[in-house]
Amino acid sequence: MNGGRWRLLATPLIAIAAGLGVGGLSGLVVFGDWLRPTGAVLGATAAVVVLARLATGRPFLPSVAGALAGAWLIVVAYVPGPDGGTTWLPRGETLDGLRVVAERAYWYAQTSVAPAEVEASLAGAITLAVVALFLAVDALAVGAGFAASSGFLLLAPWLPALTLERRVPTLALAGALGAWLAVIALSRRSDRGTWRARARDGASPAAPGAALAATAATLLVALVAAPLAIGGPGWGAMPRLTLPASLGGNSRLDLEIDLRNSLTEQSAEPVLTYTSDSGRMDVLRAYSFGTFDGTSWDRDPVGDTAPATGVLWPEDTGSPLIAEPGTLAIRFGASAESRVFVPAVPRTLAAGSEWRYDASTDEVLIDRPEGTTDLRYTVRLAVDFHTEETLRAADALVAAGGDSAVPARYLDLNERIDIDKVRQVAQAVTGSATGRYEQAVALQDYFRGPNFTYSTDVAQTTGDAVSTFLADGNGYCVQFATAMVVMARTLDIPARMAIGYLGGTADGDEYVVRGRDAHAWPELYFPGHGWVRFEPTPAVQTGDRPAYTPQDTPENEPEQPFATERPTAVPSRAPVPEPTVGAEAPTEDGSAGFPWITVVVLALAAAGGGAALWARGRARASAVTDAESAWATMRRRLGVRAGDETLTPAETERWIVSEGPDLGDAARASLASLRAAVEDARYAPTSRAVDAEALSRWVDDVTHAAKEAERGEKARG
Amino acid sequence: MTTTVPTAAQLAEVADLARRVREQLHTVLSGLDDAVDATLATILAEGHLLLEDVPGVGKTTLARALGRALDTTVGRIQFTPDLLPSDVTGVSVFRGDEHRFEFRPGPVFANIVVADEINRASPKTQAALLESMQEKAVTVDGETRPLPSPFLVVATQNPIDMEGTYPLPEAQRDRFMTRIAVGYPSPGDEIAMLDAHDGHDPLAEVRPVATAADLERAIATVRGIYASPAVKQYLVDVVRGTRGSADLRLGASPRSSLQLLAAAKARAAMAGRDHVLPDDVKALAAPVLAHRVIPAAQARAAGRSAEAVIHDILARVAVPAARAPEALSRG
Repeated sequence: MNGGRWRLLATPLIAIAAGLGVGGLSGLVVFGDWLRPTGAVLGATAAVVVLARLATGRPFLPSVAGALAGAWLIVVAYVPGPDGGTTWLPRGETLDGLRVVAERAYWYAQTSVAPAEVEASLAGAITLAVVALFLAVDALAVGAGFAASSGFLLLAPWLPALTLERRVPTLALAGALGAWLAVIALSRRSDRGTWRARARDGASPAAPGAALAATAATLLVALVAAPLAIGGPGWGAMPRLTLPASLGGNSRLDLEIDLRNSLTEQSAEPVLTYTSDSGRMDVLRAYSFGTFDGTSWDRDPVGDTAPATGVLWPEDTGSPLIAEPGTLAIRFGASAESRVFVPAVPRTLAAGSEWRYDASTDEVLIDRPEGTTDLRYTVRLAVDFHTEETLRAADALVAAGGDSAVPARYLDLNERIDIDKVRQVAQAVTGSATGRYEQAVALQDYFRGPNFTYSTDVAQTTGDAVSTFLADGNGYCVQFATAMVVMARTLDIPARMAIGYLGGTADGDEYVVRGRDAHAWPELYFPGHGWVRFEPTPAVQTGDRPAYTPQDTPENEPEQPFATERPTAVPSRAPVPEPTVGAEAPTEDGSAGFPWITVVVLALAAAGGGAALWARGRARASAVTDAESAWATMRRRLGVRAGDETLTPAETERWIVSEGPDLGDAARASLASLRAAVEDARYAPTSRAVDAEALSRWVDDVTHAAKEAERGEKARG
Repeated sequence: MTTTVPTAAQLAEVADLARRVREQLHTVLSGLDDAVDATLATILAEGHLLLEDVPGVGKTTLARALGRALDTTVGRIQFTPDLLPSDVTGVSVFRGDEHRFEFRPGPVFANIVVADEINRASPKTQAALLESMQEKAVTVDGETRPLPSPFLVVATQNPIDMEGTYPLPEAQRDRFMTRIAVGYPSPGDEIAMLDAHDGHDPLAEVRPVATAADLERAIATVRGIYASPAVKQYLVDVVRGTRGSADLRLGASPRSSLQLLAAAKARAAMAGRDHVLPDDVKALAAPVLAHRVIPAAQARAAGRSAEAVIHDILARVAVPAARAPEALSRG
């Protein structure tokens, strides 16, 4: 029975490989305590499979047992009962609960910001996926004996990492790969197994080359084919393996190309931490970009600078601006920027005599060789400086020529842009708007509407990047910000792009801003008030709109089954945790319907695949073409009741008759005929031809009689 | 030696001969069917038989009954320490009236030679018998005289009461195709035996049912029995199993493979089959192999006989199919 033992070891290894597949979601979700129940459910399911395999010789029965156990465990762990308690016994309402959890997970996946904090329903969905993956791989590798080929299934959880992030957590991937290779190595040992093991696995051991070829093919698909096929051409199409954080470098805003690297690298490196008495900052601002040549931005030149004392704000709005200031204590890490990060509202700085302020660009310069590295400073800010009323009040000044103080570059439109077309769009969008504030809000709503999707998968364009973006609707913060700036300028609104970080994630009393929080946003000029941030980049990346613009209404926001659980995780990067739905644009009315079609298609595909496997198994089981295959089929169907491989056909016949259930005369005669046929085929100089039909009939006679007799015995005893 | 594929009639003749001989022996030795079958297989496979058991279980009776049932000549030699080689092979005596030497054939010149207690004779005398078994001829005074055909030596040996004996060395035992331990009869068989001996000698009732010519034909038929590659593979697997076994100090020789196959062929023919089954190999593995192997010290210490070790090996070696089922390539 040595041949069977590897299976008991292979199943836990497959569970490990499947569980490590969660690592493939590293850029999409935040790992935390939710991994524990996931691991527990996976482990318990694997244990059930192992125990079932100990109990039965049938290849796929353990998978069925595992599926039932896994489904029950997931219901217990993730589907609350009607009274909110634990569902120990699935009932009719459980289906409703399941539907609610699924809808919630889907909504959460669609609306939360990657990397998303994982709440219960999403954890349930991930657990379901992991358990299903484990069961599928186990059935394929251990049940069917295709250990090497199962690598293709194990590849599945890594596809999001490869196609969306283009980054692979190396250690987890190496662990999964190692576990899978161990399964292959183990499966090779089964070549000397019992006849039943060999009947399942094929008598001739697969060449070691097969395992090698499968490994090579898997790596080829993982590293080359999948990214090329899904990512399309363009830079960054090759995956980058991630070094453990301890080996990585520090994060820094890359101002030469654009933010794509910062975004796609998903850097978890802290850039700075801050404490705040007025909650999370919307943004921390560093640089201004005013000149756009159709495809790329240029930094604003440094204008007149003054010591960074007093209230820092480009517009002289008169003192005292900061009546009830908030306080911000900022601590930089290793990041070496040349500008001090400040909130996008009037503020004062309590630190650094060598710091200077450039009002034309609203940048705070720091003159020291190491830049902001290890810098600590405190900011006092006018928390609620921007309000709808003050912004609307600017309209009067616009009419009075208030824009004349602004440098001409903030209205400049490069001729490479199809200005007329962009202006047409802008005018159509802002058609009913009166005044600059309403125009700005209309533009912001337009970009956050259903026509645009957040994605870092943007092909490079030459020429007019704005028109391209308006046409295909795919982009990340730089595209959104650029398009809004250009459209604003076509409406004669001075506009520029600001670069900095989003407000980061709460960690105890502190907020931590990481490399992946890098962000770009448009700023529009309001005379008498200053430069005001708008947020055209969709909620999946940035969360709420600025407080001084109209918020999402229930009509244009998907229903929130658990309003308090509004995603708080931070901005940036990838669309949504679920790549399959993340790429889809929201439906026309802005509400995301539950993807029943997807579920039905997946269910049909699974059912079809299962049916195909079953049919194949049946076909193989009944592949009675000659006496030898008939004999093998009969022994397989009888299982242990057919004795072991050291018995000759005649001894096997005696064993079945003496040890097995009472077959009856007819079946015994069939068994004798079958035995004579196989002896004849194996050992006689010239074997008589027996037609396959008769052989099949004999096999059916014997196995049917054995089953009947056993049923009868059970009924009696 | 040319072999021809036996016809159905020839096979039926062998099967019938075996049945008749069995019937005759059964009247004398009830309950010794396995021993009788192995004996018959040995004679049909042109081998020799070593009966090894305690005194009084019917070794000699079996040999004598066989001699009577087959209408052949029977020679009997009671081996003693002072027995000379010439007592076995025969001797040339000078005949004064004819002024020449005349060869007086020894008891070995018979179709069936019963060598009782072969281990009591000196090695030199044993060697004389064993040589004639191997050569099927006797050389005396430079003249080689062929022995009659068929020629079967049935030697008996007493495993206890070993004082003053010369046990056959392994190399000599290898010359016997089969060794059979007769064993004690079952209670029922023993009662039947008492009844059979009640007042008369049951041996006297054994009638000859086959002639030497019948045996010759049967032997020729046995040579033509077919052994498929799968059976040969199985047989070699079993024999090689004895060489790799930790329980054996010495495994079986390649000669034992030949003899096992020959005996299996005979058993197949006795069943009226024209081909060997693994069952034939299994049935004869212990009689053919057990006396050629030497159990290792730990097996002996554990009280395991060579037969038990052979049976263990049989329980481990898989019976090969003509082709492995579902030999699909797997990836």
